[in-house]
Formats: sequence, structure tokens, C-alpha cells
Amino acid sequence: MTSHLSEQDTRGPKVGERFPDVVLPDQHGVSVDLHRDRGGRRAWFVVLRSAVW
Amino acid sequence: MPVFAMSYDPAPALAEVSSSLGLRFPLLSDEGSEVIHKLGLKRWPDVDPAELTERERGLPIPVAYELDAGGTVVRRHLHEVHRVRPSAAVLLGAGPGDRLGGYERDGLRVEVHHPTASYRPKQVQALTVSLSVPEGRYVYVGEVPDGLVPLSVELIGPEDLVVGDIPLPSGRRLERAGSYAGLRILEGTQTLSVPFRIEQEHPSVSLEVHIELQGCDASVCFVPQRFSVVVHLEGRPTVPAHHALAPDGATTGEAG
Repeated sequence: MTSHLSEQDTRGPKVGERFPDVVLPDQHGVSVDLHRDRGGRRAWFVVLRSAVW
Repeated sequence: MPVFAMSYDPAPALAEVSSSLGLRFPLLSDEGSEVIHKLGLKRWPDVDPAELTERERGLPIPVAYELDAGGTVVRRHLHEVHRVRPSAAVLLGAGPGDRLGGYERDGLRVEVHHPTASYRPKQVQALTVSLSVPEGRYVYVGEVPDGLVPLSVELIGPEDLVVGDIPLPSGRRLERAGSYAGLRILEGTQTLSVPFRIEQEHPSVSLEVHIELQGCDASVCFVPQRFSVVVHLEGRPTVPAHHALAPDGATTGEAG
């Protein structure tokens, strides 16, 4: 696609690092623990600018 | 592969988005942007919050991480800052979704799917095209000598349609003697992703997926086929009014 940020933007977790623990409520208010709930599977963690606007 | 999506929206707003798009993965609510801050993903970490609007405060950079089974980042994918972004339904693995159109001839089948059969302006979406080649036959892909036609996929639509790169499967090498040796072929069922976005609001749009290919078997190559599958997507507004953040959205913590 033509729509990429610069790959030089180094903010946030890096390739090769363990992704930090994330525990947050989901859309139903149920607590989700990224590493526990992916259950040892590969996963995508996607940061949305906003899901609603 | 499981998908976890996070934004700074309040949980009730995420619940609406999730149900209206039929999402099958969790949308995590980082209301107040604490986790976004901790991960170092704030869009404007060094700007005085007083100088930012409600929406800009705590806004993350849009980024996706592919994690391996141990939780290590194996891939990082940045999206554009402004209005062009992946739709929650599509790039996040919501599955191919509804079958919107198809084609079948001589045992060769093509189906086009889309997760929601709708679009929002400027969101990056993807149509999924699945191609089923009957047993004993194959389709060329990649470089071929003159006289053969490799698989090609093209997306045609309104003037404001922007189509991304359509990666074709690399297939396997044809194992046979002679001048066709080493050409790449596809067999069985193949799935292609056709990324696109539409810039403007329309009540609905028609997209034509043009596919050209040539089927062969062990003894003969058939006449190349060129055909189109037409799909219709319903337009959705850019910002649904009922999804707008509350004026004091950053502190109404119903999500707990």
C-alpha cells in the first residue's frame, strides 16, 4: 500500500523483544490478559488510532 | 491466529463497533491511554496535553505487532497516521466473511469474500479471492514464456478507489522436462488478499475483480480465461454520530 509511516519510527516495542504484559478490559468490560489469553499461540496485537472515529 | 486490538475508546463505544461490524476478536479499552503511554506508543508524548484536543490527547500511533508463540515481537507493521487506516474488520483477521460473488467454469471456481460487505471512506480493506483449481490441473503464476498466460488479478471500481499491491502466491516449480520446466504453478485452493480503500462516501459501490488465468493439465493447456466477479459494498459514514466520543470521554470510566 502507499500508506505507511516511516519504518524508522522506533517508538514502542521492538522486533525481537518480548511484548510487554497488557491487561485491559475488552468491549464487554471483561478483563483480557494478552499473554495469558493467547494461550501460547502466535497472535496479532493491533493498536488502533480509534475504533470509533 | 488470535487478534487483540486496543484503542483508547471507552468499552461501551467499542461494544457498539464490535457488534455493528460483527467482529470476533476482543477490542481492548485503554481509556485514559495508560497502557499506550507505558508501551511508548503515544502519538505526541512530548506535547503539553493542554495544547492537544480531546481526541489528540493520549492518541497512539497506529501499529500492529505479530507475536510468536513465546510472546516475542516478530513483525511490526505501521499504518499511516491520519485518516487512512486498516478497517477493524479486515486487517485484523476477522476471517474472509460473506461470499459476495463467484464464478465457476470447467471445475475451476473463484469466490470473492468480504468481512462486512460494507466500507467506510479511507479505511484500508481487503477482498479475499479464493481460487480452486480442480485436481490434476494447475494455473501458471509469475514469469512465463510468450504464449502462456499467468494468473493476474485486478480490481476496478469508482474513481476514488485506491488498490494496494495484490501479492500472488508463489506456488511451486513445475517438475517436467522441456521448455516449461521450472515455471511456477498453483494447484488446489489458493487465497489472495486484494487490499483497497475508497476515498469518498457513496451509498454503495460496485467493485469488479478481473481475473485472468490459464489452466493446464499434464498434457494440455486450455484457452486462457478472462472473467470478472462483481461485488457490491454498502457505504457507511465516516464518523457515525452515535460513535462520537463523549465531550469528557477520557474520564467517563465505565469500563472499570
